[in-house]
Formats: sequence, C-alpha cells, structure tokens
Amino acid sequence: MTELAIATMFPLATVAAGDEANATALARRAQLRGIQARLSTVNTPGAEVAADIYLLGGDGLSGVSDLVARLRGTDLKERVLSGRAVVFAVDAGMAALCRSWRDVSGERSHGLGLIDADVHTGHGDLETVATIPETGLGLPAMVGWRSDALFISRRPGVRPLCAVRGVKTGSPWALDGVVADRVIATQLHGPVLALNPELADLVLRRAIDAQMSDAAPAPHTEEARARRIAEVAATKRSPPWIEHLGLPRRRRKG
Amino acid sequence: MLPTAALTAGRFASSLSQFLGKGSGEVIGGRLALRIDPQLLARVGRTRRSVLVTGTNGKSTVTALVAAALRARGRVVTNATGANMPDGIVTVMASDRTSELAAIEVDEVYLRPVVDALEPQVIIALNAFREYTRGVSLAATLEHWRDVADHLPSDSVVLANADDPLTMWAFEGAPRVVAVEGALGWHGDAALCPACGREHQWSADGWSCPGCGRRRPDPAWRIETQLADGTWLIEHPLGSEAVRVAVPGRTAPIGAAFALAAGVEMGIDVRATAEAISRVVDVDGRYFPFPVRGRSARLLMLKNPAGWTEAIDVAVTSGSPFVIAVDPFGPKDTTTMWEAPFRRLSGRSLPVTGGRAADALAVLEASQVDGAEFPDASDAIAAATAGEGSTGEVIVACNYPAFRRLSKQFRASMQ
Ligand SMILES: [Zn+2]
Repeated sequence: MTELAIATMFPLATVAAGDEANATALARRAQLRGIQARLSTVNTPGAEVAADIYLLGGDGLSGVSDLVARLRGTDLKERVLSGRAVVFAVDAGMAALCRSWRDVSGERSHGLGLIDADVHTGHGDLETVATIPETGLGLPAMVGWRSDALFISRRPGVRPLCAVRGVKTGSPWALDGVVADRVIATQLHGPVLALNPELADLVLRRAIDAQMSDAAPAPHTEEARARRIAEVAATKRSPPWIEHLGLPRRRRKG
Repeated sequence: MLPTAALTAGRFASSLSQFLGKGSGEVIGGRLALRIDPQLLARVGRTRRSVLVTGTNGKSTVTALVAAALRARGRVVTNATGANMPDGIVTVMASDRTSELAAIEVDEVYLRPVVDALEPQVIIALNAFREYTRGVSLAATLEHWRDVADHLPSDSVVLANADDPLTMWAFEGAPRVVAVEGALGWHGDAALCPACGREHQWSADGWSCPGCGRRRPDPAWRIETQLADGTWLIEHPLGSEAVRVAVPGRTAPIGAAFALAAGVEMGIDVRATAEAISRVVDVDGRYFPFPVRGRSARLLMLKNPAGWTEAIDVAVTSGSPFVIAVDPFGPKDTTTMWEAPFRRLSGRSLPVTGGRAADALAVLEASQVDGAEFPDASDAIAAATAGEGSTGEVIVACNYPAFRRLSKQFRASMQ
C-alpha cells in the first residue's frame, strides 16, 4: 500500500464530540510505519469515496437518521462488505451502522446493517470511563468519555470491543462497542484514537495487509492516559478487576 | 410596579451563592427569581433601549465594546460577568433599575426568550460554531435563530457577520439585516450551505454556494487596515473611523466594527462612538495584560476548536510567546484542543500548566511540538519564549476553569 486513504464521513450531520481528531491520530500512527496517509472530510451526500478507512462520529442519537441517509448515498457499505475498507465508528456513528435504532419517541429506523445489533435511547449519563485490558485484541486499559445517550443490544455472536468502568455512576462495568473483521465501533468519545494509540493500531492492522512494525513510544500520551485512568480507579467502588489495571491503589485516610 | 418580593428572594440566593463560592452568584439568584415570576425579565428590562450580542465565540468582548459605545449616550446596564442566560440577565437588570440603555450578551440557545422579553433595537449575531459541552446541535441553534428572526420587533436591526454563511442564513427572515465584516477563521463547521445542502466554495471574495447562489454580501462595515500606531481603520457607509482596541489579533477590529455599527444604529454619532470604544482597556479581565514576573501576560479563554485555532494564529502572526493553561472540568475538558493546528507552533517549546497539563503535553506530542510542564503558572509564563517579531507579550491560552483561576490569582497579586 503506497498511500492510505482516511475519510471522515459527514461530521456535520451529528453533534460534535471531538471525534474528528481521530483522523489525524490514525495518520500519525501510519506515518510512524512509513505509510503516508491522505485525509479527507466528506460533507456532501452522493459522493463516491474510495477510502481504506472510514471514520464516523457524533454524540447520541441526534442526527443519526441524516447520517444514515447520507451514508446510503456512498459505497461505504459495499467497500466494507467486499473487504476493501475498514470502518471505525464512535457512538452516533455506531448507531448508524447497526441494524436498527430507536429514538426518544420510540420510533424505530433502519441503519446500514453492518453491525448485527439494535440501538435504543440510553440514560444519558456523561462520564469518563476506563476500559479493562483486552489481551486478545492487544488493547491495554484505555480511556475516553461516554454520554450513554444510546444503548446497544448485540445479537448473538456479536463481539463487544471491551468492558468499561465509569467515574460518576460507579457502575461495576459495562460492555462497550463492537469488534468484527472490518468494523470496529465504540461509545468512547473524545480523541480516543489519539489517547489510545493501540486502538488506532488495531484499526490500521485491519486496513493494512502487511505486518506492522512497532511504533515509536509516546510518553506524554501514556502519561495523560495514566492520569485519567487513575482518576477512574480512585472512585469509591472499585470492582475486583480494577487490580488488573496495574495502578497504584488509593491510600485510605486515617 | 416592580415585583419586589421575587427580586428580594433572588438577591438573597445570589449573595448566598457568592458566599458559597459558586461562581458570580447571578445565575442562581436570577434562576430563583424567574421561577417565582416568569414575566420578570420583561418587567425589569423592556423599558430600556437594548443591544443584544449573541453567537458562539467572542460575545463578551463585543458586549464590552458595545457597552463602551453606548456610554457615549448615557448610563448602560451590561452583564460583563458573562451571566448570559435569561435568569442571569434578570439579576443584572434588577440590580440597575435606572440605566436607560442595555448592552446584553445572550447565550445563543436562549435568544428567543430574551428577545421576546426585551424587544431589543439591535441584535448582533457574531458566528455559529458547533458546541462541545452541552450536546446542542448546530442545526438546532440555527433553527432557533430562524425562529427568532421571524419574531423580531419590526423596527429592529440585525448586525450579522457577512463572513459566516450560517449566521447570514439564520437571520434572513429578520426585518432588516446589516452585514458587518466579522471574519471566520474556522470554515469546518460552515462547510455546507444550510439552505440547499451543497458545499460552500471559499475564495478571496469569501463564501458562495454553487447550489442556491447565496454568497457573502458586501459588508456595510469593513475592516480596512491597521495603521502604524496600532489603530484600526473601519470603513462604513458614512466614511471611515480610526479605532484603538486593547485586544490581540483580529478580534480587535471585528469587535470595534460591530460596536461602531451598533452605536450608529442606536443613534449615536460615529466619531463619539469610536472615541468611547477606544477608551476600553479591559474586557472582564479577559484581555487585560497582567504583570507576571516582569512580563506582560494576556489570558484567552478558549472553548472550541475555532477559539484554539484563532489563539494559535495570533501567536504565529505576532510571534508572541505562548503558554497553555488547562484545568479539569469533566470528561470533555481538553477535547477541543485536539482538533487545533498546534503544529503551526513547531520549533517552539511551549510551557504548559494546570491540572490537565498532561493532556496538553499529549496534544503537543501528537503535533510534534515540544512542551514542558510547570506546576506554577507564573513559572510557565516566565519560561515562555518568543518567536520572530514579538513584542514580548505572553499569550496564556486557557480552558474555562484555568481562565477563571488565573484571572483571580493574577488580579489578587496586583492588589
Ligand atoms: Zn445553497
């Protein structure tokens, strides 16, 4: 592969969530391996976009119907199904790829059907979350934020990406996202591929056939992530798995 | 008859919240008062002649300049502390019953109730960028503005940013629109024509839409040039005016152009307006250069990629030393930094400070810019190095809580 084409699809259709930094993060991880990346942002429906990696984002269910309609006007689905492209989708983008999604009014609409799951309205809690390491995928403990404005019901056989724990709700843990051969989706928002380079590498590996070399270390990124994960770990009700994160335990006072 | 009981209850809550240290107190006080009497804003505000300032970025600066312009005519009530939702505006209005003029900053998603209550003479619409903290879509804000435009008083005027196609479209239905050169440093959010969905084209002449033919109007108020002594020349239908504004970057002439236009629409002589604007030295501590360790430090409060992009642009074009100050305020506290073009500052080493310094360093690492963490903001400012052609004034780019913390800290150390 001489040049990797990365397309951010219809970012203006959904509510901004800071997902657009994911494109530059992917390009940087590719460049560290000597692969040049070409970035584009697609705003107009109907365009044929021959990308190797498609990026979808947005927060909650606002704008998802518009996003689905616009995606139907592209060859994204055909390219993913025929093995020519990979799609990485965050939250609203993930909903658009599911079989169906249901909004607040209860009305059910069809998505692109690339993910065998259904989405409905969630409780909408906003919080920073840390994930449990997923060694099978080569993912360490990661960090991002979730608004949980949507809830995904995976059908049998659909594999979640990881499990997460949040700061605010103190929920023990919840499954997050979807991972399939050429579709990776998550509810982790923010510059998630920038803060979690191993996830960026997972997306790249699915798009690039050749063996990927190790990338240069990013000590400041590691530190930023470690501090955020430590904040999650420091909340009161740490579940047993938190010990797997290998973090210093918070000392009890007195 | 003024609703005294409601206001007294609100004022008590206001001082309580100040005592508890929860912000300026205006929001809590006003919210309680509005709960007691929803007609309150109209009753405390409608008798005045008012200019409302709305938009995503730059409201506080422009409001301060408008307030200065109106003072050429009389006493002015203004919400300089940034309490810009209906309840905050109630408290500000109730605290000053005598001023006949008002310069009011209005949160862009609360414009309709404020317009209905105050029936303003002038509405300044600065820009519409996507919003990152509340989950309000840009489309919803624009629809809200369309609704406002349909319900404006028939003798009112909208001063709208000619360079922002979204703002121009939103106020198409207003009784009268005057275009002002307002610039748009970040085109990403205005890529699509809101009227027909086609992609805008951008050229030296500004934006145009190949689908419906809408294009940038010729602004009635134009920023002509910056003179050698730092003043800006603003061209307008009556001639041209030199204005000096103590604000860095393009924000200065843009704010001055809107404030001049507002002054003239309010019936004030343009020369008197220009002189009044030129006397403004501080905007809510926002641009006042604080003396720190023998250097001069300007704090900028940045809340979206457009804001960060503009701050970086100021640093690059002026050569000013640049410091990043970011504090925690929830999961999204540094999200907007990641989309800003920090690579333009490569070759410099940027000092970073605040509770989210690690995030800032990660952003810089991803942009291949060197950075160093300083636990103390004064140390960070002292360590900042200048680029070419710098006047030496340090730009301190802050997120919201860092801006609040450092303005308080530096102001206290001056006394
Ligand atoms: Zn158009």
